[in-house]
Amino acid sequence: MKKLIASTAVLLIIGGTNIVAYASPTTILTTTPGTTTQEIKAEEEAKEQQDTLKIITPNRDVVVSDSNMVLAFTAPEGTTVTIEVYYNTSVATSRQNYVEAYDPIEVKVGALQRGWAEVELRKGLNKIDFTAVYKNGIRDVISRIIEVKDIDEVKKQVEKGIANTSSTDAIRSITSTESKQ
Amino acid sequence: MNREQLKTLILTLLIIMSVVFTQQIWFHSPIAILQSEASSQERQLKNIEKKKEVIMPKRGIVSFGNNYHTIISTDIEELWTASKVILEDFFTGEPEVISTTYDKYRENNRLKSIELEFGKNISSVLVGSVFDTVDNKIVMNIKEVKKILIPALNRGVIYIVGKEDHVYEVKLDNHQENRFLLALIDDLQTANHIKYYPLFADVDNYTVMPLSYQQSTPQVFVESNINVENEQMVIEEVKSFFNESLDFVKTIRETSGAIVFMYGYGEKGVRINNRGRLEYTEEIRNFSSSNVVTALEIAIEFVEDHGGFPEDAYLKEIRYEEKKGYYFGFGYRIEGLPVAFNSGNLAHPIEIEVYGDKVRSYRSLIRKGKNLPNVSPTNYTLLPQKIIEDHIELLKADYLADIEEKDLLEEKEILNYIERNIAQMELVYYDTLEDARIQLLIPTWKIKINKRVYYFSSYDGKLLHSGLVN
Repeated sequence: MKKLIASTAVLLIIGGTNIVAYASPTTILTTTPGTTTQEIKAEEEAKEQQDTLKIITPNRDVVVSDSNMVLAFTAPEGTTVTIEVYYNTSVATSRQNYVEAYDPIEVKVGALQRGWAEVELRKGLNKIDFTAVYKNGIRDVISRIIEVKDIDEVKKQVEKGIANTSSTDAIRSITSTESKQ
Repeated sequence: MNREQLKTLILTLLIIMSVVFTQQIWFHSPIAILQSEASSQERQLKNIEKKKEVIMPKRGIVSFGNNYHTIISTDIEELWTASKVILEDFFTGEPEVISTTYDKYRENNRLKSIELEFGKNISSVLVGSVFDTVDNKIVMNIKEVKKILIPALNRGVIYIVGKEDHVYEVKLDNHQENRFLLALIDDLQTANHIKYYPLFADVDNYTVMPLSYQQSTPQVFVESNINVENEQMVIEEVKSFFNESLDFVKTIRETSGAIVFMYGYGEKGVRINNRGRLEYTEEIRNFSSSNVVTALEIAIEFVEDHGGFPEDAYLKEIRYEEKKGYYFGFGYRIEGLPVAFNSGNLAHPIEIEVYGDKVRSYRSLIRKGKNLPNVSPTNYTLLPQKIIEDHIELLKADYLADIEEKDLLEEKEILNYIERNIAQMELVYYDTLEDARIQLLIPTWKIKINKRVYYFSSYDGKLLHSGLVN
């Protein structure tokens, strides 16, 4: 009986959210760890301009179930956006060690003032750095942390969570990046 | 031999003769009549089969979930056959039809599902006739079928987009769980395919576009089905329009190279132009009213009797003309891609008008592949969004011309308009109709932005044609 209720709840949750994506409020990084003060200044300067790099997808740090992801962003024409994907190789849950996954993808923004890129992520934590170099040479960096979880893993955690505690806790446990493996 | 014996002989002869003639009338002729009846029945069956073949979606968009799609155009038949099994329950059963919102449709479209796109103005009764039913709940509630969305986890619900983009939810109470559509989608996902995403989803435009097009599409050589220079062939082609005899038919050869065949005072005529386009017209004075299903059957019978459909033909458009007759437009595919062209007097490769039970006009320009090796492309297919960017000035100018706004609009506004109105993106073979004998067809992106349609070569992005949609 318990199993039945649990699996119904899982199906409801998975069915209800079309893209299995959950906001992860605990790891919002405004700048990348490696950003120097100079770059932050440059970022601020760039932001003063009307058009800057804006990331449409992912619009925040998210947890997803699919390892393929399409990134979408807007930037003024002539901007070169370099996308670097890093995988987390650290086993420890408290500290992350990001290693570059593959060669950076370079997107030249054209007349539509938009850019897209398909990236492949790995299970666990991934970091994506968007570096925009505007026409006037100013740089802008935006980072996103994406966590890829197996749909089964999500399911298991929900089941476990429902069996033990309330569903709010269960959802918290899957959305929180701290409770890993 | 006396007189009595002679009489007996004559009588015997008469009896024998009567037996022979009776046998000839009652045995030989009926067989021929019966045979022709049987063949006409066979023909009718064949035409009904054909009808079911041509009523099929133009293309299918398969959603793998997570905003990730692929477009099926070449092997649409497989998808359609699988979908038909599911749709049959809805068309033959007693479903509940309720009006719903586009958001609900979108929601289901984002999950694993199949979206079938039909031609223009396709009546629901025709789609119903594929399942041998003309009187059912769907036909009663929905007049026209634009799109059908079948969620892969078939729970007895499908969505139909009808006239003016009105969305209906069709719900079946006692449905049978069917998993093979899901299996088909999974199969398609593992097979080699091109990924499409709704790239402009943030401005509420869910038209799917590819981000990379790693498949190369060849250029193909084609020629017109009818070679106007070959008179013998033209006569063979035309004979069927005049009851197999051209005795009372005038033939005129125009300076352009076109041949005109005219019967009587022009009650009936066939004109074949220098490119091989055939145009048949007949004067119709009295006609009874008819319905769309019979009209389509008549149209199909006519086309089958006069040259037949090309391979991979499908119903593209229906119009009800001045409440009198029906217009049907058919398209076809070469090497899996639809064939498109621009011609002042031909909107679709096959056009036919049916008034009552008679055909008023029939026009066709069909090309067939030549036995020449296809030309492999030197480069990959360009991405449509790249082509749009390359031609952005043209698109902007067209927009300003269309809205007739004299004030200068802000750049951003125009861009936003273009982004929101990219309605269709499809790879087709665009026929420039330059040559009747050896024409090279180039794979072309057909891009529809609001009222305008553009054809850009997918190899170099060159604009081949642009025009307003009727």
